[in-house]
Amino acid sequence: MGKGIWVYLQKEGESVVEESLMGLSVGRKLAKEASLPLEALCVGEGIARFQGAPSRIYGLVGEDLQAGYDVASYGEAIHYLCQRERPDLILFPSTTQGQDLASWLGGCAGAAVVVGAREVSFRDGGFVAARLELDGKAVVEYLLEGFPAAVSLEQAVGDMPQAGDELQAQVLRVEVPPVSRQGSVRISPSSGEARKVDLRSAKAIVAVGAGVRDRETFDQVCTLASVLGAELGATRAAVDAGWLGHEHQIGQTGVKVKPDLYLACGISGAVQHRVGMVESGTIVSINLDPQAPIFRFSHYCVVGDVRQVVPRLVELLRR
Amino acid sequence: MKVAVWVREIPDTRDLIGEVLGPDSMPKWKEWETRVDPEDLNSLEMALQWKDRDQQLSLTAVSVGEPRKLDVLRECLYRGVDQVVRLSWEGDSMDLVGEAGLVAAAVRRLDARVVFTGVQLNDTECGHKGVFLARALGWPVVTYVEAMEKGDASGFLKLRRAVEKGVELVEAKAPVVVSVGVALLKEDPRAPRSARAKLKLQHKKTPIPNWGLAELGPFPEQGGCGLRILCFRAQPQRDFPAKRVEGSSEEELKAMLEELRAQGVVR
Repeated sequence: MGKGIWVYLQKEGESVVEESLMGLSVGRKLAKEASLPLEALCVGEGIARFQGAPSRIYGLVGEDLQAGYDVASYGEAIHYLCQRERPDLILFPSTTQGQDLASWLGGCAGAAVVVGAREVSFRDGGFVAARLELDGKAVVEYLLEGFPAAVSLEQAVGDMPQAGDELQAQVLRVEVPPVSRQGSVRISPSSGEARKVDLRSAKAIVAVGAGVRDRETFDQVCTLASVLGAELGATRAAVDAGWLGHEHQIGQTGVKVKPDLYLACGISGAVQHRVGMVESGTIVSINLDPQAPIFRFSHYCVVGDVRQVVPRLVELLRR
Repeated sequence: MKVAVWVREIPDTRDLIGEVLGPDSMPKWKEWETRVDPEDLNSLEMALQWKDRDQQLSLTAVSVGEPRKLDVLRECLYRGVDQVVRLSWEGDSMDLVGEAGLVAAAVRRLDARVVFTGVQLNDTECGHKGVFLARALGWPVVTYVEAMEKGDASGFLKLRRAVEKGVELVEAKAPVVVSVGVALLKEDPRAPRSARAKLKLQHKKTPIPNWGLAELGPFPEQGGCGLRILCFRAQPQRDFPAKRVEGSSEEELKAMLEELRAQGVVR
C-alpha cells in the first residue's frame, strides 16, 4: 500500500468523459478513506486542467497508441505503467472502453479485477468491490487481493464535480515501448453525436422500441411524450431503425435512467435494455405480445397494439 | 479459413423464484437449469452466417469442461458447426483466465485465425472472456460487435461495434478475436437459429473429442485469480404487482391513468 489510487481518464476530443469525472469522485473518497494519493492516467499528452482534476496525471504516449483506441494497445500500455509504478487500485469508467481495459488487466495472471461494480470501499486495510450478479438477484462482495487491482464502475456511480471546480494537474509524459503483435484492428471515428437530451434527470420518459414500425406511430408516441411532459427514450433497435439518435438510447450502451414514470412503447424487454431502466419508479409497458419479457418488470402491462393504444392514451390525457 | 467459436454453459438465472442463496449463503447452483450463454449463441450465429456465405470456411466450437445439464457443444452441432472439441483440465477448478489459456492452446492447435465468442452479461464472471482470450493468444480483439458486414477468405473483416454514442466501424485483419454483444429480437436477421431437426438426428450420438494437456501441450501456468469472494448477499427484488390492462378497453386505460394521477406520476 502507498502508491495511490488511479483513475483512468477516457478522453473525447480535448475533454474528459463524464463517466471518468464521476470515477474521480469515487477515487477521491477512497483515497481519503485509505489515506492514499489520488492520481490519474490517460492516453495521449494529457489534459492538464479540468473539473475535479487530481494533482498528477500520467499521459501515455508511444508508437502503438498513435492509431487511436484498440483494447490490446491501450491495455498493454496501461499494464506497462502499472508494472512500473505499482498503483494500489485503478478505477475505470462505466463505458465500453473502461470495461474493456479493466478486462484486459483482468487477463493478467493474479489480477484482481471487478467489472461493473456498483460500490467500492476501503475496509480493514483492503479494497472491496460489490457487483450485482445472477441476473440482479444477488450482490457479490469481492476483496481485491491481487495485482494489478482494477475496478470498472457501474453507470451513475459517483458524482459530477461542481461547475467551476477546475483544477490544474501536473502531467507526466510516459513513453510506452511498442509490442509486436499479429493481426490488426482499425476503428473509424464514432458516428455518434454529442448528447442533447438529459435522460438521467428526466422525471418521465416515453421510450420507443422496435414495435414502433411506421412514421405515423412514431409521431403519435412523440405526441404522447409531449402531453405527458416527458423526454423521449429509445432502445438500440429503435435507434438502429433511425427513429431517434444515439443520445436517446437507454440501456447497456446507452444511459441508465430512473424516472418517476417510464412508459415503454413496443419494447420487448431484452436484458440490454432492462439494465438501463429497471430502476424506474412506475413502469408502464405497451406490447402486443402478452408474453413479452418487459411485462415481468412492469407495473402496468398494457396488452395491445401500440398503434391503437397510444392515440387512445393521448385522447384520454387531453380530456 | 479456419474459424472457432468459444461457447459456455451458464446457470439460467432469469426466472428464479424465492431464495437464490442456500443456508450456507452460497448460490444454489446445483438446483438451477443451465443454458448456452445467450451472447455465445449470438456469436455462433454470426460465425454460421459467415459459413453460409463461404462454404470453404471450417467452423469448430470449443468449450471447457464436462456438461452439467446441457451439452452446449451438441447444441452447436445441431446448428451446423463442422466439428466440436471439449477441453479438459485435470487440476483444480479453473477460473475464466485459466479457461481462456486452455482455449487459446486449442485455437493454436486448430490453427483457427478468427475466434468468435460472446460478451458476458449475466454470468458471475468478472470480465469479458473475449478480452481474456485475446490476451492469452496475443491477438487483437474487437468487443461489443453487433454485426459483421464483411468477412472474406483472406481474414479481412468489417465489423460494426455498438458503443455509447453510436456505432463504430472496425476493419480487422486476422488473427483476431471477435467478442459479440448485441440485443436481438426474434425477427432480427441476426437472431440465433434454432437447432435443426435433421442435424439433431444426425449428431445425437456423434462422439465428441476431448482434448487435455496431452493434446494441447503445455501452456503458460496461471497465477490464480487475485479476487476473493467475501460474501453473496441476496438482492431484494423489486415487487412488480403487475396489473394487466387490455389495450382495447377505454375503461381500463382510463382507470390506469387515474391510478397514475393518484400516484403523482401523471399530471
